[in-house]
Amino acid sequence: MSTDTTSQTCTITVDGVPVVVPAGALLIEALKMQGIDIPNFCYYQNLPAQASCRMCLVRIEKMPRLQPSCTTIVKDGMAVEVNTPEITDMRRGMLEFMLADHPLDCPVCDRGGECELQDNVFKFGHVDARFTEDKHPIPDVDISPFIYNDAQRCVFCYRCVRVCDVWMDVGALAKLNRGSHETIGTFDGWLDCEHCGNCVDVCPTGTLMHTSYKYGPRPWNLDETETTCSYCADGCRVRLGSRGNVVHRSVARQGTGINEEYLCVKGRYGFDYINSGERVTQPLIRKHGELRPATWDDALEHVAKRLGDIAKAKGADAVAVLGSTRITNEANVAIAIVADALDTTQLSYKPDFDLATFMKSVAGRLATKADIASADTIFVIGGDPKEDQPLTAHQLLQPVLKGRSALYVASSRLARIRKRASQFVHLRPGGEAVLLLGLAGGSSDVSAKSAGCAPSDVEALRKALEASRRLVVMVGSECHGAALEAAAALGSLLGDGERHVTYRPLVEDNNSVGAYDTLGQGVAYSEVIGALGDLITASTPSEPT
Amino acid sequence: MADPVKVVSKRFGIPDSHTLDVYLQHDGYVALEKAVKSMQPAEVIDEVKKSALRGRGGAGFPTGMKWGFVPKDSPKPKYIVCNADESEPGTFKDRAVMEFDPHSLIEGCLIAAYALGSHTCYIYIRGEYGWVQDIMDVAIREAYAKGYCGKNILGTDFSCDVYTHPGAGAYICGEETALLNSLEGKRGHPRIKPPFPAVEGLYGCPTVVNNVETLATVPWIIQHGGDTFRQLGTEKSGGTRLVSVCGHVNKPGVYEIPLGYPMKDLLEKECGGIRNGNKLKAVIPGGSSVPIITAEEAYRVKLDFESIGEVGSMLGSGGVIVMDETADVFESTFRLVHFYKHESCGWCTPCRDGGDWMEQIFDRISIGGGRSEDLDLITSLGRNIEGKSHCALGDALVWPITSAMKKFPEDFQRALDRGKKLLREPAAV
Ligand SMILES: Cc1cc2nc3c(=O)[nH]c(=O)nc-3n(C[C@H](O)[C@H](O)[C@H](O)COP(=O)(O)O)c2cc1C
Ligand code: SF4
Ligand code: SF4
Ligand code: SF4
Ligand code: SF4
Ligand code: FES
Repeated sequence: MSTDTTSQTCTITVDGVPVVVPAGALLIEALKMQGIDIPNFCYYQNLPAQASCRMCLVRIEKMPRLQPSCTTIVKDGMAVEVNTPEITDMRRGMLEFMLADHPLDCPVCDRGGECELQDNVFKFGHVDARFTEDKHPIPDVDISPFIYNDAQRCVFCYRCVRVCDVWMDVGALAKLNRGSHETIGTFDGWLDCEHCGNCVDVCPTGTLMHTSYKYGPRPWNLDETETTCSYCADGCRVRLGSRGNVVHRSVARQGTGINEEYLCVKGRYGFDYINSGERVTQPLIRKHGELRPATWDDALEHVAKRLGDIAKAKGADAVAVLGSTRITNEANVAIAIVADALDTTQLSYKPDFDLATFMKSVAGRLATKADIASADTIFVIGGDPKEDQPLTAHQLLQPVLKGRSALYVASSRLARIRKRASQFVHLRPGGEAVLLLGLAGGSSDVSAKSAGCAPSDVEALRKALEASRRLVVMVGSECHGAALEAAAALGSLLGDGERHVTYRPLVEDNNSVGAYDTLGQGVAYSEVIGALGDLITASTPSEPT
Repeated sequence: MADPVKVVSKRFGIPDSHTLDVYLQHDGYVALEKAVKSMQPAEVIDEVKKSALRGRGGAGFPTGMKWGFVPKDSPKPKYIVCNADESEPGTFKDRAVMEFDPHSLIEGCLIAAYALGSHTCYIYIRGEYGWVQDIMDVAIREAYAKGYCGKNILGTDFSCDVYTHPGAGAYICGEETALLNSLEGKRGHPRIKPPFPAVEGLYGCPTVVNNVETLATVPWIIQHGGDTFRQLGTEKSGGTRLVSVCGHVNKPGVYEIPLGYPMKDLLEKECGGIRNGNKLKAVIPGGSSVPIITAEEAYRVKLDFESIGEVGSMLGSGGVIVMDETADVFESTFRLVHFYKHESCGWCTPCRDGGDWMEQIFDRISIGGGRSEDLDLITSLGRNIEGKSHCALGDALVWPITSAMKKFPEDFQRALDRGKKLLREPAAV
């Protein structure tokens, strides 16, 4: 066994075969890189080690007991046995224990087909069932409108508990009771949480499940479409499971998007509108006061004629064309082309965030995921990331929870992440600008008075921000005008000191930035709406003449 | 043999031995004064190493070596945690120490704290020992009042606080890392080791966890020297220790014996023999978690770590459970299976699910539902639990079963046959 001179790698032997693996890797990961899958339940990437399911045990030379590969760090010269009768028996034994009190109701379990317990039993389990004692049946219960808990199917990997604690920082799930009476449950029996459904997604069994997918189509009968969540600007990758024209679920397991496996409640459960009978799914033309289905050709012809009539009668600018922060860049560009064809200057969209002012003032580049992960200080002003950009909130909380960065929040909203903030300044609504003035070196007395906080708050915050070296400023939609300008330039307003400052506008809509990029140069929305205001209120539903 | 020297129990039986005044009349706090005024911390650790003192909580780990694992240069605070959770069936010696000699434990904690550079000791007391905690609390108050605890102990610049903390009734919280979780206010699950408590223990700081008796032995070692203590026992098992004897003997109780003392003498001299002149059947020599031994083995074994190992058992926590010929080892084992199943913390698969299954099998056999294949099944399940669980409770569930099946097969066979008997009886009516 040679020590690699670079010490980036080391050599271990697996069942007698030497293999080179990254130094410092977890054994289970190192083996996976060699194409050796070690069965596991409690191990999950990015979650704290657990070592409770005992599925991943391996024999390591010189160790008296079998060792969990999910907590063992590889060492040069380590000799590991993973495929011996001892290990095979052990795996069978663990699975047999897990199945002992399991209801074995796979035919009606919605996890069936993508259940890790099923898969592992199929690969490593016993053939004959030796358990002939009584099971302890537990009825399944709804623990929220979105999630139900079929506790008897649980294998106690605690992924759900850790996901809720660590990814979400919510802590709504817990182990209840002890020993064989243990169940995963909630405080008070009801789930008081954000309903992100991540606990359901990581559950290897059919224990925590989506109510909306209960007795839904079997997973293998779903068509899965990778797409992007259409709610907020974070743009999580989701996989929509549909059958026919009905969407049944939205998941991110084994996700490849920037969100990895994270989704918030909107991306997870906010899809029922797609299936709504009230949706307009085909062109309709109003005739005699009643909307009637029409062909696309008829509809387009109708619209073109009406717009042409209006332009002829009242001038091209009597027609305004509106894009949106909720549609793709391509759609917005197409809308701009229509406006061009109609010869109108009245092209606009309704912004959810004053990006024009922000972009004009911003004193550095926009913060990336990497900037957030490596910041020593994160300052949120006038917003609540958990509401505005939940994935961003999740990303910024990770280094904060690990103690690697400090969070500061100043907002008139009781932003939920404030409980992790080193300092939270509760502002009077509209107090953002004066606070920023104080942070920029203005009188803290004056600043505090109008911002609705104490002078010491302003001073402490200023000191913390000035001490930062890698600062991310998150600017919420409560910042307008002067506040927005100051927030977007905070880096250049703070006192002396070398620091790397990046900015994140907490825009709310999924394509605010795209709409600004494609349509931002157009006429201000308020002007368009102002000019058209009387027209809109005066007009009655049109009847073809 | 001359009357054995008493170390931990030397003040037992003296009227008001739990008070500071009486303690001071009998060498009380002499060792603490010697340590803090005339010894370097490293010298204290060396003395304990020399004594060959091994932990009295169950695992028998050399105490001096454990103390040596605590990193000297860590900038973090260090903690001394006394394990007074004593919940192992058959074990009740720590309770005697705390009831009759609480100051010896306080003194032991303080000497350990001095040796390891700690300023805080926690004594984690079994929840059911409410009155014992009261005794400890009174003793601690007395010690504070006289300057043995708190700031500038005995006028030196060594300061140390001592607190008690009650458990909530879980056996698993005697496992040192589950204890630390519980002390931190978390659920009592054992932690992943490594890191060991000596490096990352209470609140992530270096921590020594020692049993009550272990710590209460330290003052004597410091006062009389490690070598003197070691010579009281055998070469490898130094000193004396407490054993708590219960079951079918005439005089059950807590006795101090030198290590290497014959079990036969303990049963016959100290404990006055087996009750009603009955014959001895079996002994569990070190608390319920260790393998059971037969009468024949008990009569030839000596109470030291090595000799007990030769008959396939352990000294464990010093709880000696004695059973005479009237006992049914299947039934006594069933009791223990029920205990371990009930006390499984539920963290890991083999102990949580295997324990429950095991109990159900014993339950079925006990009511006459035994099957010929049950013994093989029990053995096989035991193999899947032993050595695979997250903490030693899983092993503690299996050892009593496998040893009892091996050493008392006739009791298990009789239990298996109960059903046959039940079936025959109605026919005879
Ligand atoms: C399930 C379980 C229960 C235990 N209960 C106790 C106990 O009640 N008291 C005790 O001192 N040690 C107990 N131990 C042993 C402790 O983990 C630890 O080894 C001991 O406190 C160390 O002290 P010592 O070195 O002084 O013996 C228990 C261990 C296990 C696995
Ligand atoms: S839905 Fe999300 S917040 Fe709610 S319990 Fe599950 S992980 Fe926690
Ligand atoms: S509910 Fe699912 S994720 Fe949670 S412990 Fe049980 S099996 Fe694991
Ligand atoms: S964080 Fe944003 S993009 Fe991601 S799921 Fe939630 S709403 Fe959708
Ligand atoms: S062996 Fe038993 S007590 Fe120990 S961690 Fe596992 S379940 Fe808990
Ligand atoms: S995956 Fe390692 S113990 Fe569960």
